[in-house]
Amino acid sequence: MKACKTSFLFFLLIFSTHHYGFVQQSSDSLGYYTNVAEYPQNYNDLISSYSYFKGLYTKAIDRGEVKRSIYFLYYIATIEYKRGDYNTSEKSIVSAITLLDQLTNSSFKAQTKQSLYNLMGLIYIEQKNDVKALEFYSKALEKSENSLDSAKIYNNKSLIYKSSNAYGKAKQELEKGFALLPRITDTLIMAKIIDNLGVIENELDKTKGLFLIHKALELRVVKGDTSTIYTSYSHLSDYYYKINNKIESKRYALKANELAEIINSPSYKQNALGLLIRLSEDDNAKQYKLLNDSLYNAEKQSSNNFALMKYDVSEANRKALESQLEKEAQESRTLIAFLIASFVTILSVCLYFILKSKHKKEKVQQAFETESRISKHIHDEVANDVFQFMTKLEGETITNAHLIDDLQSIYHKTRDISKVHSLLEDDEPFTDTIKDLVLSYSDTKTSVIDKGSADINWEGYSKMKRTTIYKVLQELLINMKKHSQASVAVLMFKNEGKKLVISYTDNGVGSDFKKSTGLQNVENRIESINGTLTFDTEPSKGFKTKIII
Amino acid sequence: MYSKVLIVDDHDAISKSVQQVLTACHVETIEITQYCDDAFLKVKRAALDGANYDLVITDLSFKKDHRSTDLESGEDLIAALRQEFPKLPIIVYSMKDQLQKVRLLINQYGINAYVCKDRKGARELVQALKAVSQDKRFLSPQVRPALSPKNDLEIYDYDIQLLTLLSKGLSQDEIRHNFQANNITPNSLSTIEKRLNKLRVQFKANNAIHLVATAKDLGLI
Repeated sequence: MKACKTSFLFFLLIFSTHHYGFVQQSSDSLGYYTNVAEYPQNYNDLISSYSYFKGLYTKAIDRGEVKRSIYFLYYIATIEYKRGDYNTSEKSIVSAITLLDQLTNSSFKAQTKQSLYNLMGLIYIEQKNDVKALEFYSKALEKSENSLDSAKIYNNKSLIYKSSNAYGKAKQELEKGFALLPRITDTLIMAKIIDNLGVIENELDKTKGLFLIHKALELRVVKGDTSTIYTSYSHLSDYYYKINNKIESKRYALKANELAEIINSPSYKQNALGLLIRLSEDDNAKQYKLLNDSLYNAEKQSSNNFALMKYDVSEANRKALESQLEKEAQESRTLIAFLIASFVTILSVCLYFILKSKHKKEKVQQAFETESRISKHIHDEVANDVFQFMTKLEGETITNAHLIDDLQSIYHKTRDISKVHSLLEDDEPFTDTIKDLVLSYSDTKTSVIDKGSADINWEGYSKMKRTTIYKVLQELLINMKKHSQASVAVLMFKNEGKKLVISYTDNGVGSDFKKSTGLQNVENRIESINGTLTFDTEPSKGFKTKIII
Repeated sequence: MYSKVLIVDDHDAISKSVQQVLTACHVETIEITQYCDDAFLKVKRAALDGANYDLVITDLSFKKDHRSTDLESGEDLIAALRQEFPKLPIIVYSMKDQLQKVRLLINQYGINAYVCKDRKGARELVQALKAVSQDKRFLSPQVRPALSPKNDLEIYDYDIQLLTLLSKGLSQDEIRHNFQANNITPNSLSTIEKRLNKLRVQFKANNAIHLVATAKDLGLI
């Protein structure tokens, strides 16, 4: 059993966080101490790297560098664990986890948590709290993101089962790890899994594992890693002790002892001496070891219970903190969801209005096009035919003047319809187009007067609006020509604020209708460009219209 | 007057009436075509044969039919003809009376006459033939304003001020003093008189009283 424990003592994680851009300062010494903490060759290594990491941690926490603090804490906890200072290591782990929970979810967080849980598992194994240890390994396994980490965790789980003599289960776990070996490049971890599998095979079947233990030893010798070579020797010594080959057992125990001297760690030395005493012929010595072991275990059990209690308290605190953090995250999630929802709502409302106005424009444009098509049709078919007929009649010798007069009036009406609906030619400035309109309805009977059309910035209005204005004014003037008998008509243009105000006035007979059918069209046109139109007319009081756009 | 004339119009009855007018004017060769493309080719062909047309009378608007055409309107035809035959006399005989169209045809292509298809169309066509043969331009009365200055139909704030003071019973001299006091220009007696005369014409007023009454009726003052 002792041999197993020794192997746990130097069972280590290779912490992968240095891939995450921690290293900013004195990277050479950091690399050196990281390596030393991972693979200490003697006790002094632990002491020097401990003070190194402690210093870095204090600085990092002062500067509020959370990631770095966690990183250094992990090494501090590792070294404390290796020193056998489990309670302190546990505290370090708890503070590391508390810090870690402040971070947002990331690969770094998952990986680090996995490593910390694994370390915690190791501590519980040392404290003989298998249930807790297994629980942490399961947590660690959940967070594991690569084969190497998973293999390590399977190994650790197997060791727990082994410590409670559940070799079958131990073998099961370890075989899962063994299956991962082809995907692992770390020789020492491979050696560890092979070695441990060998030990368990030996427990189940006396001889089967020996080959594996030797294989692991070979790998370790190639790597020249003192502490794990020591482990192999102690396992071999155990093996031969069990099959009652005392000579071989002692040979390996002595080799282990030599290495323990080199490593110069009290626990290694104690462990190595234990191996030798077991082989001693001296009954007193044997008796002493037996008593020593049981005293050690009893002492450990009581301190374990205390550690467990302490952990439970800090665990409760941590959970409270976690739930607080979770609540805050939930609140911010709710807020974000609310913001997104309102953004989407506003966007769709805007979109609705944009599409609606676009649709309206398209409709107006379509109406223009249809009108112009019909207008051309009327011009080409009806007006031309009427004109042809009129020309023919004019040529006849017997002519009825009234007939031709009527025909002419039909001809003019048809042309007016065609004119009002034809497309506006837009190749000259709009103010000139307006002037031409005014000009073409002025004659000896009526004068049309324009005031202010040149002062309006017509180019600021869309072509659609300009066309509409033109057609409306044309219809008003045609209406004037037909019905009003006015001698003067005035078109006034002016800007009032952002609005364009056009007023039409004539001094004709006016009319008693509020809305003539001819002017219904004018109203529709103005509405289509969101303008307003008011008529003001009474018999013999002229005709007034005000258009606001 | 003319010996060889081309009529371009897609309405047979109209072409015929034009033909009658030309015959009455003793034109020897009268040719008729319904398509602008054909008209252009005919003119070119005639020039190659050394038998030029003396005159082209064309409509502006043509119906589209199964034939695909390069020159779709009388305006296109006129543009094409003017490029190759800058001196060929052209008379437009059309139902359109939009001033900007008339002005464009005169200013850009220098057409020689614009006759509106109307009751008096045939009579005006005769006048146009005579005018063009004497190198004069002819326009039907309803499109004649196309070449007149436009500002005759405009009034300004100045005119409104003038009318307002007039309506208050001020004499021309008093108006002048008022303008001078208020720094309104022009304020010479002669300008004021000219402006008032112009306004009387514009408002078709017989005298100053009539002018003020009309302006008031129209809501200008």
